Amino acid sequence: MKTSTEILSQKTKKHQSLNYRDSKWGYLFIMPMLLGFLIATVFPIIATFAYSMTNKNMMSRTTDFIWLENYIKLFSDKTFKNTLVQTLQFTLLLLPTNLILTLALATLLKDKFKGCGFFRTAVFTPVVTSVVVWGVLWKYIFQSDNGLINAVLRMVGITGPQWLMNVDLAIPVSVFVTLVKGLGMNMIIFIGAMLEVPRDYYEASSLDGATKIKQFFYITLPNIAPSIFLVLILTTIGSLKVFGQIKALTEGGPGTSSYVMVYYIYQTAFKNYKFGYASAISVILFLMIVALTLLQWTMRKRWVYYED
Amino acid sequence: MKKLSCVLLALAMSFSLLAGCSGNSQKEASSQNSAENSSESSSAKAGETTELKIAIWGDEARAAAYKETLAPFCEANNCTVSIDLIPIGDYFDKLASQLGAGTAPDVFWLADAKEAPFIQGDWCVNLREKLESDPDYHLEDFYEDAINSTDYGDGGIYGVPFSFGARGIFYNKTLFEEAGVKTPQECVADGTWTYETMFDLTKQIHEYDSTKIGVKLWCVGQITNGVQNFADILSAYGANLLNEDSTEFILDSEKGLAVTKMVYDAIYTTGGHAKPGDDTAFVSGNVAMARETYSYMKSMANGDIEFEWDVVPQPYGGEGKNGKLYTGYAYWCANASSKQADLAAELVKYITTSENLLAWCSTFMSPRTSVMESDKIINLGDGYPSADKVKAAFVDSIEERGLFTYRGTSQWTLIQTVVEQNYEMIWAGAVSIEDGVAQMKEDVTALLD
Repeated sequence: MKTSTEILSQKTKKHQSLNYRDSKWGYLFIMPMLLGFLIATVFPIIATFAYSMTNKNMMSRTTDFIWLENYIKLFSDKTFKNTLVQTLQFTLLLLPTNLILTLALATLLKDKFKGCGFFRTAVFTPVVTSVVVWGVLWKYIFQSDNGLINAVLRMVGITGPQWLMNVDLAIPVSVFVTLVKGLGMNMIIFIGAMLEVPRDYYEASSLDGATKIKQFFYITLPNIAPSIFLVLILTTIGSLKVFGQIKALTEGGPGTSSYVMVYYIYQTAFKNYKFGYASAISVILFLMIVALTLLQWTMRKRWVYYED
Repeated sequence: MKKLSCVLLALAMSFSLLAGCSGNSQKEASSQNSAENSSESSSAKAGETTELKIAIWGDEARAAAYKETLAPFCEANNCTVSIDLIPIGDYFDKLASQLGAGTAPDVFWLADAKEAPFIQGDWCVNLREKLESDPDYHLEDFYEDAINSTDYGDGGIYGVPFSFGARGIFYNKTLFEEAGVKTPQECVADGTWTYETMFDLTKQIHEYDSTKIGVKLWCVGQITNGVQNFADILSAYGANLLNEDSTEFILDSEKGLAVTKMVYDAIYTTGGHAKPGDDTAFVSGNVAMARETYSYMKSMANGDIEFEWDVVPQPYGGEGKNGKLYTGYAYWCANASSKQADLAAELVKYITTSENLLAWCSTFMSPRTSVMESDKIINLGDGYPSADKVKAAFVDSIEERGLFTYRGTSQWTLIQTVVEQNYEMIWAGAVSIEDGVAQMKEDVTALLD
């Protein structure tokens, strides 16, 4: 006769065997995705770290390890420093404007009224447009001589500036184009979050005499704080990785005045063939994004309100 | 059954993912070793059809026409060709990536001094021996400067030039007539065709209709601040970007600065010149004058054009007939790291024979005497300007003024980048012409060999 220990052990083994069989199938089903993730994401990231410590040049058949020389060179690279500043400028211009505009749009369009579907679609449509198509379209709109904006200004007797060939306007114009493209996605996130806020809060506050503005700041904003946090992280990461709009609109010009990190990486790797150096810049960008994300993650405890 | 089908589905997805990631792994070897390797794997093996991949820029019509031209070669060598069309703006980046990844085509084009890093990186087969050993090829038929232009010190021929030549000024006859402005052809006839005259006509056109562009000095598809865009006008006034052997920056001379100011004024002061970044094509009918290559005539003739057009030679400057005209060369090259390097070299030899270059002379002016002296260069048929005008614009101008080219250096891509960036800062008004050129000198000098 089996002892209780033996019975328990048998049950445990059976339970573990069942667990193993279940998890085995689970791993099998996620294997295609896992393989793709490893091949397309993990291995290239590891390769980038490795290349960053070499002098790999696409035109050369030999590659040598130079350890941290690429990183040391970055400290004296004037273009890199300017690019860093310009990238941060881009982010600082985009973030608050994006947040404010999308909150405003979400507030306006969250309630159902005649035509709200049309407006929501109109705001969301740029999100599904290709970045390159979007950029090229706006490039022609902002063209100095015969672009739409300057043509309209000319009709009222105003000579428009060179939107894309002005060192002071190149980044703000790029921010504008990026902003208009990304409004729809963040608006949808906020609309979803706002609709989840219990109606009771608004009714109760109305009874207490709260105005719409006070309701927005004291009820809506705190309750959608997790969504604001999400949008903040996504927009920050997106702005640090911006490339398509810059390539299509200004190609980093005039001069290098609209160079951003990813564009500089592209220029260094594929135009100047300096793959190793470009990899070092990529690693710096990666560390920047990780640092900013961690900072935001830490700060969330202070200002993000979770109901539970 | 359900689990079995799920397993099969998961395996199928995994295999399809891995199959998509497979690529040609090409061994890194010297061009000599590659040639030896490729001879083993060439279509010399009986019954095997080899595919040669070719990369060029252009359109589908050009690709189809090349396939037709190569049909006899394919039949004789038991091979097929596939042509990859890459827009010229992205061409060199994509080719460099492909070479680095080992997926480059067997045959490719190079051009405009950008060939230097590819040749110096040992990516191109040395064709000299193959070309010299065939008396029917008539290597001596090539212009000496042209055929030796890929020699970076070892006497090799790493690319066979198939296109070169001066650019001409295309002008919109209909627009000039509507504006009541003297045409460039009339200026040529009365001997007043200079850059000053051209910019004056530009201003007149712009005053007539401010939505029209008076003149555009950059060719279609080119970066608006490209090194080659201002090469002709600089030379016309005895200036240049670099000296003859590309070892010294000389744009900061008095004449160089004066020419830069002339172009700046045409863009911003007197007006009419296209603004930087504007790539409105001449074919649109909104550009009064544009500097374009010989091959652009084909685009005009085959396009759905609703205006009359003509061509004239480039204007004269202060140097008169002594102002040389800029030319770049475009080359056919064989990939030294290809498994079919020998067959690729044979293809390059075949496509650059006198007969085949002559067959393409309505598109490309080739630096072979037999091609340049042929009537086919100037008698292009319906839809083209008359033979005497084509001759004046593209052939006589070379004979009269001569040609110069920028010798490629290992850092040429970087040099072009810094020149373009500094020109942009000047055109954007962010720096004065003097400061901009001074900065350009500093940046370029640091990169010269």
